[in-house]
Amino acid sequence: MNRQTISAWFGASLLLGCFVYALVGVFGREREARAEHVRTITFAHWQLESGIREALDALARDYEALHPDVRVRQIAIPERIYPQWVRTQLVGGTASDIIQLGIGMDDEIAARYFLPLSKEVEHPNPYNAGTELGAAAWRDTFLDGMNGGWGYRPNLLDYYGVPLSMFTTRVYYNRTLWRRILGDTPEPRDYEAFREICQRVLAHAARHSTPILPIAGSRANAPMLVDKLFHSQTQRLYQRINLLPHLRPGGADIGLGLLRGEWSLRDPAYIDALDLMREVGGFLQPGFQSLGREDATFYFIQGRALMIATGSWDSPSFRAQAPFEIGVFEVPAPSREHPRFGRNTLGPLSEAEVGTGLSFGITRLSPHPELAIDFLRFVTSRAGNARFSEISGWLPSVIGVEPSPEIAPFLPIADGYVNGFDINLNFVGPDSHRLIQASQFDLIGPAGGVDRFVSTLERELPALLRSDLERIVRDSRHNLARQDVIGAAYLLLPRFSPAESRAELEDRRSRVLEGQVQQESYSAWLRHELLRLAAVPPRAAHSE
Amino acid sequence: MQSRRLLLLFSALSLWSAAPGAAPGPAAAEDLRAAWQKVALNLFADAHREFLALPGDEARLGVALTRLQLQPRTTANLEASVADLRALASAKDPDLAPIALYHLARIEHAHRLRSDPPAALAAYAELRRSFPGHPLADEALVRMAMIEVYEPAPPEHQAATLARYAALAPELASADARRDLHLLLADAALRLTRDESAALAHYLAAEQAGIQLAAIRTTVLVSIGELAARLGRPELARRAFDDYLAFAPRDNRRTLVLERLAALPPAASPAASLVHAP
Repeated sequence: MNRQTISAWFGASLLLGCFVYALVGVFGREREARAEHVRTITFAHWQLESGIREALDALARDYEALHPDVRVRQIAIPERIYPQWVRTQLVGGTASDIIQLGIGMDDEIAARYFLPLSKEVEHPNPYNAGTELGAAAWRDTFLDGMNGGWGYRPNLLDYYGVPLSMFTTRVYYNRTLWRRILGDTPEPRDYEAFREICQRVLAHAARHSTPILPIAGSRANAPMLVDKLFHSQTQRLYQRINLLPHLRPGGADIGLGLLRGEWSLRDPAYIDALDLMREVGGFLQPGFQSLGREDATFYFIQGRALMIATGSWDSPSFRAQAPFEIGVFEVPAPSREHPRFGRNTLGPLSEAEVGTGLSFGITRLSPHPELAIDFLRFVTSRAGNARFSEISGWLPSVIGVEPSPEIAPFLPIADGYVNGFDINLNFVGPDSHRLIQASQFDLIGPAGGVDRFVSTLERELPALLRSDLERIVRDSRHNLARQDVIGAAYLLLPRFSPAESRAELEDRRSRVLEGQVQQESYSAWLRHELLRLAAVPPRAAHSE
Repeated sequence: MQSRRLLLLFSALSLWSAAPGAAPGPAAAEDLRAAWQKVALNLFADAHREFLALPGDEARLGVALTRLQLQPRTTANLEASVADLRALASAKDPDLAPIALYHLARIEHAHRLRSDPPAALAAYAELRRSFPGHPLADEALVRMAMIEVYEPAPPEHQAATLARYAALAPELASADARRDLHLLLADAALRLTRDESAALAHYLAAEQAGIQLAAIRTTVLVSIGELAARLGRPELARRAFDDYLAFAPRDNRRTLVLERLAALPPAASPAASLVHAP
C-alpha cells in the first residue's frame, strides 16, 4: 500500500466514522425522545460568544438533575444565518420549543408563532420560593420589569420574551499597552482627558514608527463610541424640539422638528456634535466604516489598538482571547464645564432605561409549552440567573443577583440625564438613515468636513425625512387595524367568561384602547403636519 | 370537475351556516368563545376558519372582522367585510349592531388604503345617534375628535374644535373614553394652540379617569409636573413629580425631575398623592 492509498483509506474511514457517530447521535436522540418517560425540550439561540453556551448548558444540566424525566437540548446557530434559520423552522413547523427573540423578528412573527406570556408573568416564579422575590410576580423580578427589548411588546399588549441578561457599552483598553504608552495616567473621566490620551497614543506611534491606533473602529464598534458623544451634544437640543412637556421626545419628533424648523442642520449644537464626531473619527483607523466587527476585534486583541468601544457581551470573549489584562471605563462625554462642548450638554448620560436582553420566547407549536415555561422560570430564578451570570460573565437580568467583579463595571448607570439623539436618525426611518450612512465619509474622510456633510444633508434630507414620516403613518395603520379586531374580541369575550375573569378581560380592552388612541393620535398629528408642510413654503413652516 | 362541485357545495353550506338569524346553540357559544380567544391572541387566520364553520350573526361578525386581517390584505376582502357589517348593522341586534357600526366607521377611518374622514365621521355619528350610552358610542366620540382636531384648519378653528370636544367630555359614561379623549385633547392643545392651561386640565382629568399603561402614566405625570411648574402651581407640580418618582424608579427622566423639584419653592405641607387629590 503506498502513501496515497493509505491517505485515501484514512480519509474515507474518517468520513465513515463521522457519519456513524452522527447517525448514532441522531438515532440516540430519537430513541430518547420516543421513550415514554422522557420529555425533551430544545432551545435555540445565536450567542456563540465565549462562555454563553457553557452557562446555558450548565443550567440545562441543573434542570435535568431536578427533573430526571426531562432532557434539555441547546442549538446554537451562527448570527449570520439565524434569521433565515428561525423563519424556516417556524414556517415549517419544526422550530425548537424555546427560541431567542431578536434579529430578523418583528411583532407579526411574535404574534403568529410565539405564545403570549402575560398570564404567566403575573404569577410568582416558584423557583424563587424562600427568597425575597418569592411572592413577587415573575415580571417584577426582572431589573426592567420585563418592559425592555422583547419582554413586553406595546403593539401586541402582551409579554413574549423572558430575558436572561442586559447589555451596556463601554470602552475596553489594553492595560499592558496603556502602561507602556501612558505610564500611570488614570482612566479618563471626561472627553478632554480622553482626547489627550488619544493624541498621546498617536504621538507615540509616530515617534516609534509603531502602527498603534488609539481606538479600533468598525461600522459596528464606532457608533458605540461616537453615538454616545453625539448624544451628549444633542441633549439640550432634543429637549428644545419637544412640543410636549414630558421631557423625552420621540424619534419621529426629531425629523418632524427639522421639517417644522424647530431646529436646523446649522444649529450650533448639531455642528458641535459633528465636529466632535469628526475629531474622534481621526482617532480610529482610516476606512473604519467599511470594516466589520471582527476586524476591530482583531486590531484590539492583537495589540494594534489601545482601546475599543463595544458591549458588555464581548467581555468574556476578550478576557478569554486577549493575551493582556483588560480595563474598562465609561465613554467619556464632555462635561458641562467643557469650554466648547459643555454648552450643549445636560450632564452624564443615563442608562436607567437600558432594557434586558437575551430574551427567549416559547413557540406555539411546542409540544411541551408548560415544560418550556418551567425551564425559563428556572433559568430566570435568582439562583439560576446568578449561575448564568457567573459562568457567562454577562450581566444578570434578575433583581438582587450580585455581579462578579469583572462584570461590575458594566452595570447600567442609573443616575444621569436623558440622552440626546444620534447622527443616524434611525429612529425616524430607513431613508434618512441610509443617506446619513452614505454621507459619513464626507464628514470623517480626509477630504471631507462638517460643511460638506451638512450641505449634502440640507440638499437631500428633507425629502427623505418626509418619506420616512409618511411611512410611519402608513405602517401605524396596519397596527391600528389589528388592534380594532382585538378590541372587538375583548368586548365580546366577557359574555362567555366567569365573573372572576371578566374584570381582567375588560382591563385588557381598556389597555388596547388606551394604547391605540395614543398611537393613532400621534399618527394623526404627523399626517396633519405633513399635509400642512406640503402646503406652505419651507421658510414659513415654523411661523404657522 | 368533481372537486369544483365539492367546493361549491362547501361554500354554499358555509354561507348558509353563517347566514344572519341562525341562533347559536350552547355548543356554538363555547366555539364562539374559543374563536374570539384566538382573535385576542392575534391568531386571525385560525379564528377566521373557526368562525366560518359556526352558525349565527356573531360568527358572521367574527368572519367579517377577522377577514380584515387575512394576508394578503385585499380590497375584495375589505368590501366583503363591509357588506357583512352593513347587514349586521341593519339587523338591529342590540348586541351586534353597535359593534358592526363602529367597525364600519373604523374601516373608513383606519383600514382603507386612503382613509375617508367624512365617511368615518358620518358612521361614528350614526352609531352615537342609534346607540347612545353604548361604550362604543363613547369611543366613537374620541375618534371623531381625532379626525376633527387634526383636520388641516386655521388656528382659531382648531381652538374652537378643541373647546367643543372638551365640553362633550363630561357626557361620556365610559371612563376609558373619557381618559382617551382627555389625553388626545391635552396633546392637541399643546401641539396646535400651545394652550398649556387647557392641556394641564386635560392631563389631570385623564389621570383621574385612570391611566392603565405604565409608559403613558409616567409621561402624563411628568407632563403635569412640568406644566404646573410653568404655570405657577408648585404644590401641584410637587405632587405630580413625587408620584412620578414613586411610580417610575427606572426612568431616565428622574434626574431632570429631581432638578425641577429642587427648583420649586419650599412646600408648605407634605404633598398628597395626585391620584387622591380632590
